[in-house]
Amino acid sequence: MRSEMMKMLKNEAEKNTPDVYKKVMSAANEQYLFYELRREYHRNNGDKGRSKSAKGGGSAMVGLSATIVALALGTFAVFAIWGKQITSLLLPAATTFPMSDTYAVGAVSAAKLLDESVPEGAGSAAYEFTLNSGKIEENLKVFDRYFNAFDLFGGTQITVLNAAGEKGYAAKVTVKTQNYYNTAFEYAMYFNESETEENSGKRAATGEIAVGGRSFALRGERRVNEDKRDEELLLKVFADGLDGKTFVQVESTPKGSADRNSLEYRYTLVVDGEVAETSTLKTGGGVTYSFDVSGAFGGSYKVIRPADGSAVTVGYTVGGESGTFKVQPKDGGYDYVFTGAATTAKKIKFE
Amino acid sequence: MTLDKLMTRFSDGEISAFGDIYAQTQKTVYFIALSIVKEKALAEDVMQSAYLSVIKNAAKYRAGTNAAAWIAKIAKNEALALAKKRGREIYVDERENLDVFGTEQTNDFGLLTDAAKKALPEDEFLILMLAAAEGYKRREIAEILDMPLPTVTWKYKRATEKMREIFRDGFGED
Repeated sequence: MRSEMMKMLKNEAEKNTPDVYKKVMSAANEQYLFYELRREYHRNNGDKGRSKSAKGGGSAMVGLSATIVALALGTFAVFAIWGKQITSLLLPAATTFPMSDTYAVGAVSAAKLLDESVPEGAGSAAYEFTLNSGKIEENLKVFDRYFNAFDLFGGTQITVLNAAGEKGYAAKVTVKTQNYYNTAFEYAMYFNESETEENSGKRAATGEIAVGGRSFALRGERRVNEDKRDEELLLKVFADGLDGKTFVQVESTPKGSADRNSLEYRYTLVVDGEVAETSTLKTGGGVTYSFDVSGAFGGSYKVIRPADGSAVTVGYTVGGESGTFKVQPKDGGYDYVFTGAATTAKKIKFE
Repeated sequence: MTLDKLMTRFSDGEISAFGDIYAQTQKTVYFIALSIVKEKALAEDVMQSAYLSVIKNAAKYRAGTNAAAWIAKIAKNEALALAKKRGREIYVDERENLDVFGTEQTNDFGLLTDAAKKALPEDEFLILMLAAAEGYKRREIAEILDMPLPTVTWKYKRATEKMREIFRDGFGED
């Protein structure tokens, strides 16, 4: 009888215990608790990559890409990175040193940031120096630049294709991606790359990248360790020709292995030889990333695209003020809609 | 996978582990909350705040320790905080708290659970439910509730004896 009684209690518990999982996940996301947890972990552990995914033997994109290209041409590989699918496709006659996805995505995002920040033909004069009043509404122009520059992180899939070069370059990389609302974009990069010292793992590249109908010169370096993972990369995309004075520099030090949940890019916007802004972008789980912009336009933003396809939500901290707003596509741009404690919503639309 | 391993992975930033942690502890957290705040709706609130607290404090979790006890302690603290906030006096000793579930009469826990809730002091009810719902052994319950094993054994025995009578008599009918 006791076991019958216990069984009945168990069944009733199964049936009647409230399920708060969705509510907890929703609240945790709203409060950025998962983001904070990852940040706390990396703060405590540095770049050791102690996480399960790092220990699990997941393939590093770069190393695998290089191996694949050495073994066979036309090989296809898919990797899950920061919650998206990134597909590396190596076409026949690829370069000896295929550009890593990390490198390619870094280059595209740097070029897009440059394109957004320094419009064509306007030179540095077009770069808008607006004093930071500490109000989010006035910093939205800064946010808008970064949001558009980083929209390649907003989709669900990034495809990186290494192929034979064109335009006099030995290699070509095409990055196919989507923005937050699944509009597809494609960016092409052409480059020559060589080892700077034999067997040192150091490689230097020069080339050009096409973004927003413009072509930017680029110069990059990367160091690849013995197991052919990118250890570090640094590249510059120039608005005024190779080694010019207006550029965006991007650096990345992958955490190693497949632990790309914490991939980090550090950007420096230099205008006429002066550092105008620095920013750090960190990718998170799901379609989520955050970035900090330092300098006169400082602010922290966390961009979340819900899995259900509803509006992108941005959490911000600017001038000590924190809050959230929604992003809605409109007329080829975006509306930023604030819904705070007040019942009214205000819209700010950029021309 | 053990709860300790799941918590360790979660504290290492593996967010996907949280689903399994929740699934393995959901009823424990619920019954701990219910035994303190008495009402199902409040217990639900406690569950939410307890799991958010688990997420917030995950980085502090020490691998190799008793994850169930760690989470149970958080749940208990959250429940006590809510009860205190609501101005309720919580009696730890069941002898002073015979009407353990107050005046709430709604039978939304299941017939037998409801009967147990009415008949047993809170800690006997909690021990019984952890054993029945989660299948915990008395030693595990002692660790989770931070209670001496003989006390748990004695309370468990008393609870099952009372419940056997109620069960035999057709339980639930007043």
